[in-house]
Amino acid sequence: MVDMDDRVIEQYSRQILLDQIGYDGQTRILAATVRVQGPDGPPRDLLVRYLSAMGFGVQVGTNLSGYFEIACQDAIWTMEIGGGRSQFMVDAGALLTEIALTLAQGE
Amino acid sequence: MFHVAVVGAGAIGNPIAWGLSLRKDLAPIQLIDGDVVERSNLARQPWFGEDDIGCNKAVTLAARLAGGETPLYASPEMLTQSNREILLADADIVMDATDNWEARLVIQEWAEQHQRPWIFNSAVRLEGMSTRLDPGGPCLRCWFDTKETQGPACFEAGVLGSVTLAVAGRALLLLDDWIRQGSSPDQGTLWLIDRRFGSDRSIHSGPLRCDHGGHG
Ligand SMILES: [Zn+2]
Repeated sequence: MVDMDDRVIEQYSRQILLDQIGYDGQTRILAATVRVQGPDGPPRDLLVRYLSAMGFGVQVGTNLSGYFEIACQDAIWTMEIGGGRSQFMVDAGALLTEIALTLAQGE
Repeated sequence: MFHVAVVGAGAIGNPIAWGLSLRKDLAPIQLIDGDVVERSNLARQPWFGEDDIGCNKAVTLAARLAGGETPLYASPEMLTQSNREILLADADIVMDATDNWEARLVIQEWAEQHQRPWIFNSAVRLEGMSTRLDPGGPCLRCWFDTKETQGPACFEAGVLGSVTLAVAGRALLLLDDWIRQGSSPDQGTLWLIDRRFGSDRSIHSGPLRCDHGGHG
Protein backbone atom coordinates (compact mmCIF):
# COMPACT_ATOMS: atom_id res chain seq x y z
CA MET A 1 0.00 0.00 0.00
CA VAL A 2 1.25 3.44 -0.91
CA ASP A 3 0.86 6.45 1.31
CA MET A 4 -0.95 9.33 -0.34
CA ASP A 5 0.72 12.73 -0.11
CA ASP A 6 -1.28 15.95 0.23
CA ARG A 7 -1.60 16.52 -3.50
CA VAL A 8 -2.90 13.03 -4.09
CA ILE A 9 -5.36 13.37 -1.22
CA GLU A 10 -6.62 16.64 -2.67
CA GLN A 11 -7.00 15.11 -6.11
CA TYR A 12 -9.19 12.26 -4.83
CA SER A 13 -10.75 14.12 -1.90
CA ARG A 14 -14.35 13.78 -3.13
CA GLN A 15 -13.94 10.03 -3.46
CA ILE A 16 -12.20 9.74 -0.09
CA LEU A 17 -15.14 11.61 1.47
CA LEU A 18 -17.47 8.80 0.45
CA ASP A 19 -18.06 6.32 3.28
CA GLN A 20 -17.94 3.50 0.75
CA ILE A 21 -14.41 4.44 -0.36
CA GLY A 22 -12.53 6.43 2.30
CA TYR A 23 -8.75 6.71 2.62
CA ASP A 24 -8.09 2.96 2.54
CA GLY A 25 -10.40 2.44 -0.41
CA GLN A 26 -8.69 5.14 -2.43
CA THR A 27 -5.30 3.57 -1.63
CA ARG A 28 -6.59 0.26 -2.98
CA ILE A 29 -7.88 1.97 -6.12
CA LEU A 30 -4.50 3.62 -6.71
CA ALA A 31 -2.76 0.26 -6.30
CA ALA A 32 -5.12 -1.60 -8.65
CA THR A 33 -4.70 -2.13 -12.38
CA VAL A 34 -7.79 -2.85 -14.45
CA ARG A 35 -7.81 -4.29 -17.97
CA VAL A 36 -10.36 -2.85 -20.37
CA GLN A 37 -11.04 -4.92 -23.46
CA GLY A 38 -13.37 -4.13 -26.31
CA PRO A 39 -13.51 -2.56 -29.73
CA ASP A 40 -11.72 0.69 -30.48
CA GLY A 41 -13.73 3.87 -30.35
CA PRO A 42 -15.28 6.57 -28.20
CA PRO A 43 -17.14 4.19 -25.84
CA ARG A 44 -13.97 2.34 -24.83
CA ASP A 45 -12.08 5.62 -24.59
CA LEU A 46 -14.78 6.84 -22.22
CA LEU A 47 -14.40 3.82 -19.92
CA VAL A 48 -10.61 4.23 -19.89
CA ARG A 49 -10.85 7.97 -19.26
CA TYR A 50 -13.12 7.57 -16.23
CA LEU A 51 -11.23 4.64 -14.70
CA SER A 52 -7.93 6.52 -15.04
CA ALA A 53 -9.42 9.67 -13.52
CA MET A 54 -10.68 7.68 -10.52
CA GLY A 55 -7.11 6.58 -9.88
CA PHE A 56 -6.90 3.11 -11.43
CA GLY A 57 -4.00 1.95 -13.54
CA VAL A 58 -5.53 0.95 -16.88
CA GLN A 59 -4.43 -1.48 -19.57
CA VAL A 60 -6.29 -1.57 -22.86
CA GLY A 61 -6.93 -4.55 -25.13
CA THR A 62 -8.76 -4.78 -28.44
CA ASN A 63 -9.26 -8.53 -28.82
CA LEU A 64 -13.00 -8.46 -28.10
CA SER A 65 -15.86 -7.34 -30.27
CA GLY A 66 -19.53 -6.98 -29.43
CA TYR A 67 -18.99 -6.26 -25.75
CA PHE A 68 -16.63 -4.68 -23.25
CA GLU A 69 -14.89 -6.51 -20.47
CA ILE A 70 -13.30 -4.84 -17.48
CA ALA A 71 -11.18 -7.10 -15.28
CA CYS A 72 -9.04 -6.79 -12.18
CA GLN A 73 -7.36 -9.98 -11.03
CA ASP A 74 -10.22 -12.46 -10.54
CA ALA A 75 -13.04 -9.97 -10.85
CA ILE A 76 -14.63 -9.50 -14.27
CA TRP A 77 -17.43 -7.22 -15.40
CA THR A 78 -18.95 -7.14 -18.86
CA MET A 79 -21.04 -4.61 -20.69
CA GLU A 80 -23.05 -4.96 -23.88
CA ILE A 81 -22.60 -2.55 -26.74
CA GLY A 82 -25.66 -0.95 -28.23
CA GLY A 83 -28.51 1.28 -27.21
CA GLY A 84 -26.95 4.55 -28.32
CA ARG A 85 -24.35 6.86 -26.84
CA SER A 86 -26.50 8.47 -24.15
CA GLN A 87 -27.76 5.15 -22.82
CA PHE A 88 -24.18 3.85 -22.89
CA MET A 89 -23.19 6.74 -20.60
CA VAL A 90 -25.96 5.83 -18.14
CA ASP A 91 -24.96 2.15 -18.16
CA ALA A 92 -21.23 2.84 -18.04
CA GLY A 93 -21.75 5.16 -15.07
CA ALA A 94 -23.60 2.46 -13.14
CA LEU A 95 -21.00 -0.19 -13.97
CA LEU A 96 -18.03 2.02 -13.06
CA THR A 97 -19.67 2.85 -9.73
CA GLU A 98 -19.91 -0.87 -8.96
CA ILE A 99 -16.32 -1.48 -10.02
CA ALA A 100 -14.94 1.41 -7.97
CA LEU A 101 -16.88 0.44 -4.84
CA THR A 102 -16.03 -3.25 -5.17
CA LEU A 103 -12.32 -2.73 -5.70
CA ALA A 104 -12.18 -0.06 -2.97
CA GLN A 105 -13.43 -2.67 -0.49
CA GLY A 106 -10.56 -5.03 -1.23
CA GLU A 107 -10.66 -8.62 0.01
CA MET B 1 -30.61 23.33 -35.77
CA PHE B 2 -31.05 23.68 -32.06
CA HIS B 3 -28.75 25.81 -29.97
CA VAL B 4 -27.93 24.05 -26.71
CA ALA B 5 -26.37 26.01 -23.83
CA VAL B 6 -24.62 24.05 -21.08
CA VAL B 7 -24.37 25.96 -17.81
CA GLY B 8 -21.40 24.55 -15.91
CA ALA B 9 -18.37 22.80 -17.37
CA GLY B 10 -17.56 20.67 -14.31
CA ALA B 11 -18.42 17.10 -13.38
CA ILE B 12 -21.77 16.95 -15.19
CA GLY B 13 -20.81 19.48 -17.87
CA ASN B 14 -17.73 17.48 -18.93
CA PRO B 15 -19.59 14.38 -20.15
CA ILE B 16 -22.64 16.35 -21.36
CA ALA B 17 -20.38 18.46 -23.57
CA TRP B 18 -18.60 15.33 -24.80
CA GLY B 19 -21.89 13.67 -25.74
CA LEU B 20 -23.18 16.81 -27.45
CA SER B 21 -19.96 17.29 -29.42
CA LEU B 22 -20.47 13.89 -31.06
CA ARG B 23 -23.94 14.80 -32.38
CA LYS B 24 -24.30 16.04 -35.94
CA ASP B 25 -27.64 17.83 -35.63
CA LEU B 26 -26.82 20.77 -33.34
CA ALA B 27 -25.75 24.38 -33.79
CA PRO B 28 -22.39 25.20 -32.14
CA ILE B 29 -22.59 24.24 -28.46
CA GLN B 30 -22.24 26.93 -25.82
CA LEU B 31 -20.35 26.19 -22.58
CA ILE B 32 -20.90 28.71 -19.79
CA ASP B 33 -18.62 28.65 -16.74
CA GLY B 34 -16.57 31.29 -14.92
CA ASP B 35 -14.75 28.78 -12.73
CA VAL B 36 -11.19 27.53 -13.01
CA VAL B 37 -9.96 23.93 -12.83
CA GLU B 38 -8.74 22.78 -9.42
CA ARG B 39 -6.82 19.66 -8.51
CA SER B 40 -9.80 18.28 -6.59
CA ASN B 41 -11.84 18.35 -9.84
CA LEU B 42 -9.60 15.98 -11.79
CA ALA B 43 -11.00 12.68 -10.48
CA ARG B 44 -14.46 13.37 -11.91
CA GLN B 45 -13.90 15.99 -14.60
CA PRO B 46 -11.73 13.75 -16.72
CA TRP B 47 -11.29 15.94 -19.77
CA PHE B 48 -9.12 18.14 -17.54
CA GLY B 49 -5.55 17.31 -16.62
CA GLU B 50 -2.92 18.56 -14.24
CA ASP B 51 -1.71 21.20 -16.72
CA ASP B 52 -5.20 22.75 -16.81
CA ILE B 53 -5.23 23.67 -13.11
CA GLY B 54 -5.97 27.40 -12.85
CA CYS B 55 -7.45 27.63 -16.37
CA ASN B 56 -11.07 28.51 -17.11
CA LYS B 57 -13.23 25.39 -17.34
CA ALA B 58 -15.43 26.43 -20.27
CA VAL B 59 -12.48 27.54 -22.41
CA THR B 60 -10.46 24.43 -21.58
CA LEU B 61 -13.32 22.02 -22.20
CA ALA B 62 -14.24 23.64 -25.53
CA ALA B 63 -10.62 23.29 -26.64
CA ARG B 64 -10.33 19.69 -25.42
CA LEU B 65 -13.47 18.61 -27.32
CA ALA B 66 -12.63 20.43 -30.55
CA GLY B 67 -12.58 18.15 -33.59
CA GLY B 68 -15.84 16.34 -32.82
CA GLU B 69 -18.93 16.55 -35.03
CA THR B 70 -20.11 19.91 -33.70
CA PRO B 71 -17.92 22.82 -32.57
CA LEU B 72 -18.13 24.23 -29.07
CA TYR B 73 -17.53 27.75 -27.82
CA ALA B 74 -16.94 29.11 -24.36
CA SER B 75 -18.62 31.88 -22.38
CA PRO B 76 -16.15 32.13 -19.47
CA GLU B 77 -18.57 33.78 -17.04
CA MET B 78 -20.85 32.76 -14.22
CA LEU B 79 -24.51 32.91 -15.21
CA THR B 80 -26.32 35.55 -13.15
CA GLN B 81 -29.62 37.42 -13.20
CA SER B 82 -27.91 40.38 -14.81
CA ASN B 83 -26.16 38.58 -17.67
CA ARG B 84 -28.66 35.80 -18.37
CA GLU B 85 -30.42 37.64 -21.21
CA ILE B 86 -27.15 38.17 -23.04
CA LEU B 87 -25.59 34.77 -22.32
CA LEU B 88 -28.71 32.77 -23.13
CA ALA B 89 -29.96 34.96 -25.99
CA ASP B 90 -29.52 32.19 -28.59
CA ALA B 91 -30.44 29.17 -26.46
CA ASP B 92 -33.30 26.88 -27.46
CA ILE B 93 -32.73 24.63 -24.45
CA VAL B 94 -30.45 24.84 -21.40
CA MET B 95 -28.62 21.96 -19.74
CA ASP B 96 -28.09 22.61 -16.03
CA ALA B 97 -24.65 21.32 -15.06
CA THR B 98 -24.17 23.72 -12.14
CA ASP B 99 -23.93 22.39 -8.63
CA ASN B 100 -25.65 25.39 -7.30
CA TRP B 101 -29.28 26.11 -6.55
CA GLU B 102 -29.07 29.85 -7.26
CA ALA B 103 -27.82 29.30 -10.76
CA ARG B 104 -30.70 26.88 -11.33
CA LEU B 105 -33.17 29.55 -10.25
CA VAL B 106 -31.60 31.93 -12.76
CA ILE B 107 -32.03 29.31 -15.50
CA GLN B 108 -35.59 28.64 -14.40
CA GLU B 109 -36.59 32.31 -14.44
CA TRP B 110 -35.08 32.70 -17.90
CA ALA B 111 -36.93 29.57 -19.05
CA GLU B 112 -40.26 30.82 -17.67
CA GLN B 113 -39.82 34.21 -19.26
CA HIS B 114 -38.95 32.84 -22.69
CA GLN B 115 -41.07 29.66 -22.51
CA ARG B 116 -38.09 27.41 -23.17
CA PRO B 117 -37.27 24.03 -21.69
CA TRP B 118 -34.29 23.22 -19.49
CA ILE B 119 -32.87 20.05 -18.00
CA PHE B 120 -32.10 19.98 -14.26
CA ASN B 121 -29.27 17.73 -13.09
CA SER B 122 -27.59 17.04 -9.78
CA ALA B 123 -25.29 14.49 -8.19
CA VAL B 124 -24.17 14.03 -4.61
CA ARG B 125 -22.57 11.00 -2.96
CA LEU B 126 -23.79 8.02 -5.00
CA GLU B 127 -27.11 9.54 -6.02
CA GLY B 128 -28.08 11.58 -9.03
CA MET B 129 -31.21 13.26 -10.36
CA SER B 130 -32.28 14.55 -13.73
CA THR B 131 -35.50 15.99 -15.11
CA ARG B 132 -36.59 18.10 -18.05
CA LEU B 133 -38.66 21.12 -17.12
CA ASP B 134 -40.88 22.04 -20.04
CA PRO B 135 -42.86 25.28 -20.36
CA GLY B 136 -46.21 24.86 -18.59
CA GLY B 137 -45.07 21.72 -16.76
CA PRO B 138 -43.81 21.28 -13.21
CA CYS B 139 -41.13 23.68 -11.96
CA LEU B 140 -38.39 23.08 -9.40
CA ARG B 141 -40.71 24.03 -6.56
CA CYS B 142 -43.37 21.61 -7.79
CA TRP B 143 -40.77 18.83 -7.62
CA PHE B 144 -38.84 19.78 -4.50
CA ASP B 145 -41.30 21.98 -2.60
CA THR B 146 -38.66 24.38 -1.44
CA LYS B 147 -37.82 28.04 -1.79
CA GLU B 148 -34.48 27.58 -0.16
CA THR B 149 -31.56 28.78 -2.16
CA GLN B 150 -29.39 25.91 -0.96
CA GLY B 151 -30.54 22.66 -2.42
CA PRO B 152 -28.46 19.52 -2.78
CA ALA B 153 -24.89 20.56 -3.64
CA CYS B 154 -21.69 18.57 -3.79
CA PHE B 155 -19.54 21.02 -1.81
CA GLU B 156 -18.86 19.12 1.38
CA ALA B 157 -20.05 15.69 0.42
CA GLY B 158 -18.22 13.11 -1.59
CA VAL B 159 -19.19 12.32 -5.13
CA LEU B 160 -18.03 9.86 -7.76
CA GLY B 161 -17.34 10.66 -11.41
CA SER B 162 -19.23 7.59 -12.56
CA VAL B 163 -22.39 8.97 -10.93
CA THR B 164 -22.02 12.31 -12.71
CA LEU B 165 -21.41 10.37 -15.94
CA ALA B 166 -24.68 8.47 -15.50
CA VAL B 167 -26.56 11.70 -14.76
CA ALA B 168 -25.11 13.28 -17.91
CA GLY B 169 -26.25 10.27 -19.94
CA ARG B 170 -29.77 10.59 -18.56
CA ALA B 171 -29.76 14.33 -19.33
CA LEU B 172 -28.75 13.58 -22.91
CA LEU B 173 -31.55 11.00 -23.22
CA LEU B 174 -34.01 13.68 -22.08
CA LEU B 175 -32.53 16.01 -24.69
CA ASP B 176 -32.83 13.27 -27.35
CA ASP B 177 -36.54 12.91 -26.50
CA TRP B 178 -37.09 16.65 -26.75
CA ILE B 179 -35.32 16.90 -30.11
CA ARG B 180 -37.49 14.04 -31.45
CA GLN B 181 -40.82 14.89 -29.86
CA GLY B 182 -40.71 18.42 -28.48
CA SER B 183 -42.02 19.41 -25.08
CA SER B 184 -44.47 17.34 -23.06
CA PRO B 185 -45.54 19.50 -20.11
CA ASP B 186 -48.10 16.93 -18.95
CA GLN B 187 -45.52 14.22 -18.43
CA GLY B 188 -42.86 15.53 -16.08
CA THR B 189 -40.49 12.73 -15.10
CA LEU B 190 -37.83 12.90 -12.42
CA TRP B 191 -35.07 10.34 -12.99
CA LEU B 192 -33.23 9.01 -9.95
CA ILE B 193 -29.86 7.33 -10.18
CA ASP B 194 -29.03 5.30 -7.12
CA ARG B 195 -27.04 2.10 -7.07
CA ARG B 196 -29.36 0.59 -4.48
CA PHE B 197 -32.07 0.39 -7.15
CA GLY B 198 -29.95 -1.73 -9.46
CA SER B 199 -30.91 0.53 -12.34
CA ASP B 200 -32.26 4.03 -12.44
CA ARG B 201 -35.81 4.82 -11.46
CA SER B 202 -38.26 7.47 -12.44
CA ILE B 203 -41.10 9.34 -10.77
CA HIS B 204 -43.88 10.72 -12.96
CA SER B 205 -45.63 13.91 -12.04
CA GLY B 206 -48.75 13.10 -14.06
CA PRO B 207 -50.78 16.03 -15.33
CA LEU B 208 -49.78 18.87 -13.06
CA ARG B 209 -50.35 22.55 -13.48
CA CYS B 210 -47.66 24.67 -11.94
CA ASP B 211 -49.23 27.39 -9.80
CA HIS B 212 -45.96 29.01 -8.85
CA GLY B 213 -46.25 31.54 -11.64
CA GLY B 214 -42.62 31.42 -12.62
CA HIS B 215 -41.45 31.91 -9.05
CA GLY B 216 -40.38 28.37 -8.37
ZN1 LIG C 1 -44.33 24.97 -9.92
